[in-house]
Amino acid sequence: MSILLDNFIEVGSIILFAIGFTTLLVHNNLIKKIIGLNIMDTSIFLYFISIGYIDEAHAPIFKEGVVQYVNPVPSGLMLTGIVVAVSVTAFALALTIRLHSIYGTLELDEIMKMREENI
Amino acid sequence: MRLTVSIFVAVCLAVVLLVGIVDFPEFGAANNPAHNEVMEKYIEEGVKETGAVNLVSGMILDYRAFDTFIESIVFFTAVISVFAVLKGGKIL
Amino acid sequence: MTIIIQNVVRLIVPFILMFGAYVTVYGHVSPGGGFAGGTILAAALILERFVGINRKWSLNKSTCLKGVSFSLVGYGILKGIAFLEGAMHIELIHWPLGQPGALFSAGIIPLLNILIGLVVMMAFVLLFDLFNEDLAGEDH
Repeated sequence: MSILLDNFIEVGSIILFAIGFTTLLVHNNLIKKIIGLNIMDTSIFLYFISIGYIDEAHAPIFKEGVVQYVNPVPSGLMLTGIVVAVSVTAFALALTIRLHSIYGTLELDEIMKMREENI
Repeated sequence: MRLTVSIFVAVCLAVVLLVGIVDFPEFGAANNPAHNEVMEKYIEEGVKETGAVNLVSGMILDYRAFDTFIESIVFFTAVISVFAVLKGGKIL
Repeated sequence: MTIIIQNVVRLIVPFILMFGAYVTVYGHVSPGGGFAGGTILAAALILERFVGINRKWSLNKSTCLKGVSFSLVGYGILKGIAFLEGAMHIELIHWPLGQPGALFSAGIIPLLNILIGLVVMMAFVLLFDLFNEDLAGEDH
């Protein structure tokens, strides 16, 4: 139990992941589902960046007389992940605009009812 | 009905992941398995070989410049696909 | 939008552009780099279009697409030359390393930062133009 209190950043990121997953499942509106996807992405970035921390170490900018630096590798890898999350959000929003122009509504259960009546 | 089932599924997922955290090493220790010889090489010879004072910038633009290149191509592909969805494929 | 908002935005946009250029070009000395600097530059240009200022020489969609493609090709050529130099142990171009901590140091890293900043800025402005034009076309 004390291990869960020591690694409170990782526990927080898992709780954020569960909150984002619930947001994705519960709401009917399409924009709120995209917001849930974004919350899940942010929680994973927090998890990976917090792994590289070392106690009483300096930030990874070179300075004279510093013994230990923080691990710079996870921060560099998550830069790529942030750009991928932005690309997925942009594409999802473009698809939402296209759906709205055809069906006239943004609620998912009304769209499914309209598709069942047509076919 | 939908609210309770989704909250139950999310709580089960969170509990399974939290059970995995119990086996973690100590937070912030200097001899974690995540700090291996790759980090030592980047820190010791980063300033001498690349000349950049910012170690993260020197890492993503000199040692791992291919990852940055492919990621900008992914960004460009997302923009082109938004063209294809919203404008029917016609660019100009 | 009203005249007060337009005049205030017209006054403030050059400062945001200068700050974005500073974060991009000094990417090898202080925290920042191509992605963060490109986002700040794109935020300034999108703020202009959002408020309703129309300039004579603004970036239109064809210029943005050409800028993104040429910057990506330039980055690929520079990285390709550096990769072949290291793999085949020949020296084609001699990049001066300079003093760590100065502006003109670290070889081609400032040039790569500028190219990535241009790619990110033009891609974001292009996305905003696409979304804005589609919504305006439906209403009118």
